[in-house]
Amino acid sequence: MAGEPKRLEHPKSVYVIGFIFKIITLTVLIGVVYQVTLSPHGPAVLVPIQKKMEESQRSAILDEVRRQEEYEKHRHFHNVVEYPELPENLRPVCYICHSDYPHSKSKKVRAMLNMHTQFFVCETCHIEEKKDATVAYKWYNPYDGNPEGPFFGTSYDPDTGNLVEVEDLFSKIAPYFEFADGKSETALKISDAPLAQDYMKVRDKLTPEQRDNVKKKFHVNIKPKGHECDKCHSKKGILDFKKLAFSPNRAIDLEQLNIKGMVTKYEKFYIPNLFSD
Amino acid sequence: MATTTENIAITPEATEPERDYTYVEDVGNIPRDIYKYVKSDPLGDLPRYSLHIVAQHFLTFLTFLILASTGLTLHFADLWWAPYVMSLFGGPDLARLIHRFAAALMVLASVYHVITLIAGTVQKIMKKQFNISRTQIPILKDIQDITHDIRYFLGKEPYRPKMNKFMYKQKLHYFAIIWGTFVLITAGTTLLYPEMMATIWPNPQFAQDLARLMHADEAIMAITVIVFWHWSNVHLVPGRFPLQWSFITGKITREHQLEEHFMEYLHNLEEIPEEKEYMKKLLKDKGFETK
Amino acid sequence: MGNKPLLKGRKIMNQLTIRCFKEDIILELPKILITAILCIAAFFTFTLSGSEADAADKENCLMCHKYKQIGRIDEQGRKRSYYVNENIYGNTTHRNVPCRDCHSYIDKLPHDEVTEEVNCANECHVKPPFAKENFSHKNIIKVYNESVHGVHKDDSEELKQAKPYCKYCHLNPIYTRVDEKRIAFEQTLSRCLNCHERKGVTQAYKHITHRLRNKTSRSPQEVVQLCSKNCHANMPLMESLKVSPESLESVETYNESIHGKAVALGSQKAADCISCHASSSIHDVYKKDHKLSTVNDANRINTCNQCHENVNERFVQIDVHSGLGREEKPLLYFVNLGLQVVFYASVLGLVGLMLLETKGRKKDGILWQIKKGTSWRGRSKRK
Repeated sequence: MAGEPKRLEHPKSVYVIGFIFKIITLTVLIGVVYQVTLSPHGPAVLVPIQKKMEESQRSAILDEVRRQEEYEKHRHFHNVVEYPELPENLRPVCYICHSDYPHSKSKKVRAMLNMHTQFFVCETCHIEEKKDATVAYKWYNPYDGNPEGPFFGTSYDPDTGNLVEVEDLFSKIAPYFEFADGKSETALKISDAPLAQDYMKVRDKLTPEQRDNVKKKFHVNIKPKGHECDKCHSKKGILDFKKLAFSPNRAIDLEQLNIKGMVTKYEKFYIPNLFSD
Repeated sequence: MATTTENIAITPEATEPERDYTYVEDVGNIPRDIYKYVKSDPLGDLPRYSLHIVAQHFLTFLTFLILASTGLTLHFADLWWAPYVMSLFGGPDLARLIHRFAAALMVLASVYHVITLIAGTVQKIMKKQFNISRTQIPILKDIQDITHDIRYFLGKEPYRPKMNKFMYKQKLHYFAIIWGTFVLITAGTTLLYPEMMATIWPNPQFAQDLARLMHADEAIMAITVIVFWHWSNVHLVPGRFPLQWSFITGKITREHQLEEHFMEYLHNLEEIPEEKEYMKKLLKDKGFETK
Repeated sequence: MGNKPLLKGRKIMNQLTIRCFKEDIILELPKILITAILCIAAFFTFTLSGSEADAADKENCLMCHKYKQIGRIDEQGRKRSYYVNENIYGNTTHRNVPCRDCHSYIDKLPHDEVTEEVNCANECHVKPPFAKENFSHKNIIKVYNESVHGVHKDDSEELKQAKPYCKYCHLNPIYTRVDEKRIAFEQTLSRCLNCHERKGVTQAYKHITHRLRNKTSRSPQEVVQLCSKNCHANMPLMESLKVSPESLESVETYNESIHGKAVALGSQKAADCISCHASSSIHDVYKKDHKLSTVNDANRINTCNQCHENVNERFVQIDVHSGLGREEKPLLYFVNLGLQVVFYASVLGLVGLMLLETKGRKKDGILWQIKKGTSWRGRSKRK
């Protein structure tokens, strides 16, 4: 019919363009709202509120820790490498209180002792042996029931003589009790152990004395003083390095503690008294 | 579609000849709300823009989009989204080249526009066809149109004003663009050639500071106005959505011409015999024929 | 050779993390001539081939320090790691320097707690090619000590404490290959390898090309981050050191400038702090009124000329760190205020007009408008 308005008979594809226009308009509208409320370029109406919220969430301790980390990076100078970390729930139970650097008392050797946390869990050194069971040592990985390595520090790169770079940085040597009847049981407790979880739950409800008591109980099977060096670093040590996938030359170095090279270079080297203070 | 007979705004009692009808010789009395009944092709029925103007508009708006997106990203460099947008342009070192290339193209389009404008005007004067009310030059009637239109939108007038080829909105926008382009080109040149412009401006330090300020502020204003006003008015408001094809086809729909540029429609009637025939037939079909 | 790629999931903290893009995208023509010269230079310059950490570790310090977890929490509760990653160390500029050249205070093993700091002006037992003396950083340290960042007699105690020292800005630099777009790295290196062993020459080549990149080997982003993050953008610190108002807001004004914005978005060409404030010896930053300062009125033409062409007396008057303060630039401040008013007034006015028109036109609901795109033809709301 001649007089019929035909305004709506646009080609359908044009609606797409129309909607794109709308979307751009909406985007710019959001931009304008942002400009007025939060952007540092505009009147920033909401910024005081935002600042207040940030202020309430700030922690002096956290700030200090971050600052220290930055400082340490520069103090260290030799290119700090950031390694992936185990999630809280997969760590051995000791990590609720202790860090990767648990030793601090003996000035001479604390850093050396801490170095061993790369290789073992705490119990490997600090375990109280059971009368009815012998202790066997195996690599333990929280992600992998039967880790096969290669593990950190178990072999040298033949080209450079450096330790071989490995992917598996979480595996550690852990003790297992082996009973006379052939049963084997891990001596290790990780953070999702029922007792540990229970402790984390009720920790705030306990009085300081109660907390101390509980902690004492956690250490019942733990020797305060770990093994002496030569318990492992000798030919008849409790760890069979070769069996634990150390390369032959690496195993010899560990058994002899690289002493040979050092004694000839340093007159004042005094290994016999090293761990006695 | 609605049937054509419903909602006819004109009732015989309310008739006021000057306001409701416009008499055109050979056609008859055209009711003011005839645009509700005309046949209207969305792609456009009546000529409005020459090919030059269409080309200029394309050049301007494409370069504008590029200029705005590169420039705005640089201006808001400290905001979270800026790096993502910048990566689309291949980093700031490439984006600045794109920005400058687009700017050069836009200047070219402006020069092109000025040339066609002058040439076209001269041609019209020569042919004695020049009519000031069909140009972008603001005249007193525009102010009357604004007040009339506002009154219409508030419901105090029955019809929209009878406007010329360029209504008040278009004139406002046209002069905003002229001012904006002038400021952006001047400030942009100062930013692009600081060494040369420093020798020209009386106080190089202030000139540079002002250029930094004006270039960004003017650009942001242009973007806001174009998005919230130009696009909205032209493509998004009810009756225009999803798209007006004028910027591609150079033609305007009959319906739109009648509503917003009634005076121009009368001009079209004089120019185009077919249109006259069509209108005559329409008036007859609809029973608007005057005795 | 510890040349293996670093393993997944590890991040070397050598470079400060900042938002930036890879490298500049713009292709530059391969500088064949430069690389050829480089290759020849590499031929003659580096005859040293020992590149592993071993070479530097005659005393076998790494026997203990190569273990990742060596370290402790010190008495102040700060983590101290004593780990040196031998594979990374073997790829750093210091790879040939024996440990005790820097850590000269260590004279027995196991050594006592370290209380001394390394003195970078020490002479090391490394003789660079073409040199008669052992290598030392003392030349650059001399330049640095005279600069504004060096400790001077008349500095306040606070200022002396706050002034940066070598390690404050420098970490042991790792050899990285030069951006292969600028220099045909592989091709040129393969020519060196015609005569030389891969071991030494690769790093020697990196050593030289590293310094050919730009004025600084660090990217502009890194330089800006370095100068601002913990120092010049630390307002409480700067206020306590009583710096001039100009210098107090220098980071802010730089970030607002075109140089700052381009750098923030990843430009590799725009000026960073060092570009303007130091000569090619990088460490000679002086106050503006010092006659050696690169931003001194007398030297500014040369400084700007590094990037800009046709620099003249009037051009250098342009403010680079331009603030919008009411006190410093009242005229500009009010112009800006005026522009803001015009902006909001016109935008609100125009949008208001449009909304009024939309309201006046719209007889149908929004949904209908989206679906059918109309209309103002006076029909009542749809049922």
